[in-house]
Parts: sequence; C-alpha cells; structure tokens
Amino acid sequence: MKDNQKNVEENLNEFPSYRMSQPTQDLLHQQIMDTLENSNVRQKRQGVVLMKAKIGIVTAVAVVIVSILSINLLNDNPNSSSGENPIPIDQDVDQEVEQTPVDEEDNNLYDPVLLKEQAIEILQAIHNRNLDVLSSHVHTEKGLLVSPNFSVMDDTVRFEKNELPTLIDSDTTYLWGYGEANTEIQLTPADYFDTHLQVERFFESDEVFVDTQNQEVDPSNYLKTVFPDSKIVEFYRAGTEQYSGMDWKSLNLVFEQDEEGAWRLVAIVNNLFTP
Amino acid sequence: MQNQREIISNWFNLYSQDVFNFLVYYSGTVDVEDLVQEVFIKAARGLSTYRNQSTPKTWLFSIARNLAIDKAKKKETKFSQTSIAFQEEALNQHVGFSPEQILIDHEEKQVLYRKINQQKKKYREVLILRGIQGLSVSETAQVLGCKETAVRTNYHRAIKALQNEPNWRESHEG
Repeated sequence: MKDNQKNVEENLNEFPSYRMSQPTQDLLHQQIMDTLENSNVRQKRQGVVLMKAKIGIVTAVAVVIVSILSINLLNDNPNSSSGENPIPIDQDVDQEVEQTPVDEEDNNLYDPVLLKEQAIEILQAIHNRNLDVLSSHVHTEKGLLVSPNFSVMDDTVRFEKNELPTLIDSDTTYLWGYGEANTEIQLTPADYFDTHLQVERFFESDEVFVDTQNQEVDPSNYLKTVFPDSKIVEFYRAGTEQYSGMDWKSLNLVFEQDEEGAWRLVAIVNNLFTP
Repeated sequence: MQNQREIISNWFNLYSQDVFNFLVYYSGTVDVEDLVQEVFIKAARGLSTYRNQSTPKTWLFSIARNLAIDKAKKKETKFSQTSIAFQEEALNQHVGFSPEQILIDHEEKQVLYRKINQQKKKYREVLILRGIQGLSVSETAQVLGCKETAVRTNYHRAIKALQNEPNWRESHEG
C-alpha cells in the first residue's frame, strides 16, 4: 500500500511543466507594463482634476465669505440702498459642490477578486493572532466594530486602529453582545477570538460572497443598511443535514473606502441561526 | 523603494511561468495567457494590500486560483441560466474545465489527471498544488487560505482516493 502511495505521488511529481514561449512571455510582459503605465497616467490626471476641483471649491467659499462680509458692511452703512435681495449664497455653494467631478478612479479601485484576497489575508492574520497585520487593514478614522451577532448598535464594541496590535494581550473584559438565553458575552479579546470569532471555521467555507446579498441568511440585506457605502465579504458555511440546515454560520468582513480610496476593514460581524 | 511597475516586472520575470503552469492544470487548458496577464495586473492594483504574510509566488497563485474560479463560474452561468438548481459543488469540481485539452502526448498522465478532476474540489486543489506543482504544505495553505493541518489531511485523503480509483489500480497493479 505504501509503495502504491509513493507511486501515485511520484507520478504527480512527474507531470510535465507547461511553459509560455519566450515571445509570448515578452509580449505579455509588455502588455502588462503598458496597462500599468496607462492607469498611472489616468490616476495622475485624476489627481490634477481633483486638485483643480478643490481649488475651485476653496475659491468659491472665499468669494462667498467676502460677499457676506460686503453685504454686512453695506447693510451696516445707512447710506446704502437696502431691501434688495442679497446674493443667493447657498445656491452658489451648491452649484460649486455639484460640479465636483465624480471620482471614477475610486470606484474602479473596487475589485471583487482583490477584496476577497484581502479578506482571506485578514482571516489568516486573525488565525495567526497577528494583530499588527489586522490593524494595517483597518480604517484609520472609523476603527473596527466587532459583533458576535448579526446586529450593529451604538454600544457595539469598537477599537481604534492603533489599539489593535496589543489587543490580544489585554486583560480588559468587554461586553461583546448577548448569546443564548440572552446571556452576556463578557470576555477578554483573546477569549473572544478563541470562542466566538473562530475564524478557522471559515477557512473551508461553502461559499464566499463578495458584495453579494446572501438571500439564505439575510433577505433584508441588513448589513448594507447599516453600512450603505460598504463592500462586504461574507464567508458562509451551510448547515448540516443533522440539524436540518439550522446550524449555518457566516462571518462578515465589512469594508469602506478611506480618503485615498483604498478599501479598509470597518467591522467584523458573525452571524448564525437565531430562533 | 521599488515602484509598482518595477515590483510587478520583477515578479513577472520570476513567477509568470509558474503561474502559467498552475493555471494550465487548474483550468485544464493551455489557453490561459489572458488569465496570466490579469493576475499580474490585479496584483499591481492590490499591491497596497499585500502584507508579506504569504510569499509573492503564493499570493500570485491565490489570485490566479480566484480568477480561474470566477472565469469558470461566468462560463457556467452563461450556459445554465435556465437550469433549476445551481449546483455549486458540481460547478467547482468540473464545469468550465476541459481537461482533455492538455496532456495529449502523455496518455497515462492524462488518465490520472482525469481522475484528479473527478475528485472533490478540496482534494483536486491539493493534488494540483502539492502534487503537480510541488508546493510545500505551508505554501499550499497560503494559496488556499486554510490551515496547514487541512492541507495535510486533504492531501493524504486525496492520494488514498486516487489509489482506490479502479482504473488507476488496474493499470499499475495488473
């Protein structure tokens, strides 16, 4: 039997290697470099347009402020003619804001394959308890919300990005949410990672949904209502026959864009069947 | 510090043939140049999220795998828009892959390769990555985003499953 096993493995190792011809490889290399060059140029142009738009808005605001001051001065002056409609200040500002170009490049930065990759890296980082890496994925301004249930409230536990690297060593107990029979889930971060987050369960997910509503477990698309501008990666494990499919589980990683347009983690939300 | 294009150019020179070879076996066709190109463009765009947790090679393989799965799904969706049930498991295993296109000159290997493609997805993947591509347990786990123990267990079981295939036994024991 051992020999047979070796035989199979040897056979696998001896499968021929397929290689691209040199001209094909060169051509692909050139095409990739051209694509990257073009997108760099587009990004630079986008930057210039944005800068112009910002300058435009600043100028408009300055004009409005000067106008307000002038009107006040004129109104204060008893010799000036009064009763005329002042300059429609609000309308001017709105017009300028509406003229801000839509940042197409930012929208283009969303790539389902890459977001899935990022989510898998985050799972690996949590599994390795490497919270430096986890922190590097977290949104700088928004921090990270963590919920054991499919709900995000005002009192949901939230960590700042810079709190995360040392979180695993913290002795502080947090109220993460409520478990079976409404019992409080009060645990240290390390214990919460071990007993509730349990990312390992999702390494072999039945399905990974990237910005796609999972009708099975969230027909109302709840998380999207809480995070309307987000992209969500959901790791889903279907239930087993033994429990009539009721033992399904899912883990949702919620991403939002930062100022530079990069997708950053803002929430980790577990979800499982609740009667 | 290297810029994005330099890094990708460097990675392309080092790993493009490995990525190509992997995609040939994963997709079952030699027509994968477009996918190779897409892998490196996506890697360039995602460079800011690369955290050195995995090696560049396993990260590229991981992107390649996801792209190949996506491509197979799109192909399947086109053909099955009228079908009643969406058979995810079946889709992941076979649909979109046309194994007969490769190994034409290696009859015995082709038989084995067909058997590999008939295995469960998790077995098929470890057989291709560990067995054919020769990645280590740790590298395979990085590509698949799973634990090393899962790779060991699945590989062991996959090899056993192959041994128990009647055709394989006949050709090697008979």
